[in-house]
Amino acid sequence: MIAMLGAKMYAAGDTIAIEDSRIDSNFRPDEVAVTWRGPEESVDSYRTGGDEVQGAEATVHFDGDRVIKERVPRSYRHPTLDERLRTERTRQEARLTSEARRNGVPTPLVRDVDPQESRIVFQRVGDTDLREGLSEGRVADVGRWLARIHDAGFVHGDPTTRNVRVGGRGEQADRTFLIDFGLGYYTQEAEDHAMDLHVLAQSLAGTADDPETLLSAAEDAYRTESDHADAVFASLDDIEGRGRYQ
Amino acid sequence: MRILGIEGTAWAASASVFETPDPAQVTDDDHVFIETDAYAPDSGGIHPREAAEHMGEAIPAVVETAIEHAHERAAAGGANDADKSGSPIDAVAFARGPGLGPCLRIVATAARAVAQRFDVPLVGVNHMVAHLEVGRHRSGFDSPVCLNASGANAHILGYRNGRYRVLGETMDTGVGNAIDKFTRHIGWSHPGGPKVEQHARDGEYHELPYVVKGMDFSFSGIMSAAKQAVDDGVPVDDVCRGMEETIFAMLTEVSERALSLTGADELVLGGGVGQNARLQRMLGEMCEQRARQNSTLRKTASCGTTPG
Repeated sequence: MIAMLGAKMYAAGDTIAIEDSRIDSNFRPDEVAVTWRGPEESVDSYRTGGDEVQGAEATVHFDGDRVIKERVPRSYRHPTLDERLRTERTRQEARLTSEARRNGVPTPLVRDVDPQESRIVFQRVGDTDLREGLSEGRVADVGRWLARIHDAGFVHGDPTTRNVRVGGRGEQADRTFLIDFGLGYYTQEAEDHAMDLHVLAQSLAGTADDPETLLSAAEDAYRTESDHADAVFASLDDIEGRGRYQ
Repeated sequence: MRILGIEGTAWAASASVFETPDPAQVTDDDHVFIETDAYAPDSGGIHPREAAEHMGEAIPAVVETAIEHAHERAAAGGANDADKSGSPIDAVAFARGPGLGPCLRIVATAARAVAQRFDVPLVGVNHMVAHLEVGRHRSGFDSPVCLNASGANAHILGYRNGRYRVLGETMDTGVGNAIDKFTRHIGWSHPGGPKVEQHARDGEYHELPYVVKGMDFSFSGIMSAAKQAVDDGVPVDDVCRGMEETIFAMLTEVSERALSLTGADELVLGGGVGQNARLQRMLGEMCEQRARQNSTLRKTASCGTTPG
């Protein structure tokens, strides 16, 4: 309701002169400089802890050097759709995790797969998620790995800062691992490849204080590594400039 | 404080009066008045020119009604800061966008005229942000993840560093427009959403493409498949059910992904499509399931909003 937000904006002194009051039919929500909320407030309230992590679609248990990932049924979904998604994604995740490694991208070893139970057992890699250990070098790695899998003909599908593991022990210490390929699929389309970069950019915007610098590091590394960077970045421009009001 | 709000982004001309002693929170003395005149096409979908013609006739009338109401409130002693100057309102807020250009221009012109008439400031509001702020205001949540599902838009938003960040969004059309493309195909008039909701109750689930990429999503493939299914003789009720189950499961999944990514424990739902009971139930169930499995999830709720 316009009047309710209008009251908050008016109280914050956020008014406009008539000559500046032109309309904007593609006015995006992220273009609004928010005056009525404190700069310290944040949606980001991520906490770490425990040997169990509840992701968006799976529960992950750490068990020594193994990680057990189970896609538990989601009761809000129709049972047929739920079963289809869990089985497909479990199969795809196991397949693409291994295929990425064959293309020179660090990923965990797959120890066991049970699509019926939607369960995968992985090697444990890294100490934390990238979102808790962000650095330009690590984000650049992600850009490089995405370029490699794209050149190999598939996408990750969900390369957020939570789906990258960093800071392992011993020889893993400097490695950046991609995990969680459940939304990945085979595709040669530049637009699909660009979507991976777009998802990475959105996740940096939602969880990092300096998303632009980090994103540039990823994009530079991608450009250097990729066989078809020009087509991918042209597509990315299309995606990010795409008018959504149709 | 008493604010006049005017909006007319596509199909409804609407003016409202919001009166509150403290805009930062819900109080017992909050007062809301809404006057709406919806444009109902004779058949098919929204025609931009007809929508603008409707807006041109309807906006002045709903604005006058709202101003009369504001006068009554002021006369009855409801305090506003501008009482001394004789104005019944403190400011005029209007929807600057997003929306259909011709409709937005009519609204903006009306808002400027009212601001000049009472010599009060003008406030330019983003309609999408208004949806989620209403949800946040009513729920009392601090920093929720916000799902906006309206006719022309679909976003997942979260506030960080002074802006609402787009965590995920539709890659093609808004939710309502996607559904309307299907309902136009089978000859139902606008708005299609409520009709699909009604038919889906009697249908069996029919499988359709499910397209989620990170926290983004796309509807065009679903709509093509849904139209094709009806043409191939699949009962309309079944296709409606499949559409609801598929589209709303996608929106629920990306909402859950956003909760998971940010660690947020609150979700609000805004936009016209947010009034769909199945979508509300799915989001509620997702939040409950997360809360059961994760003791740190403090509270979650969803909230639909109405135009005004």
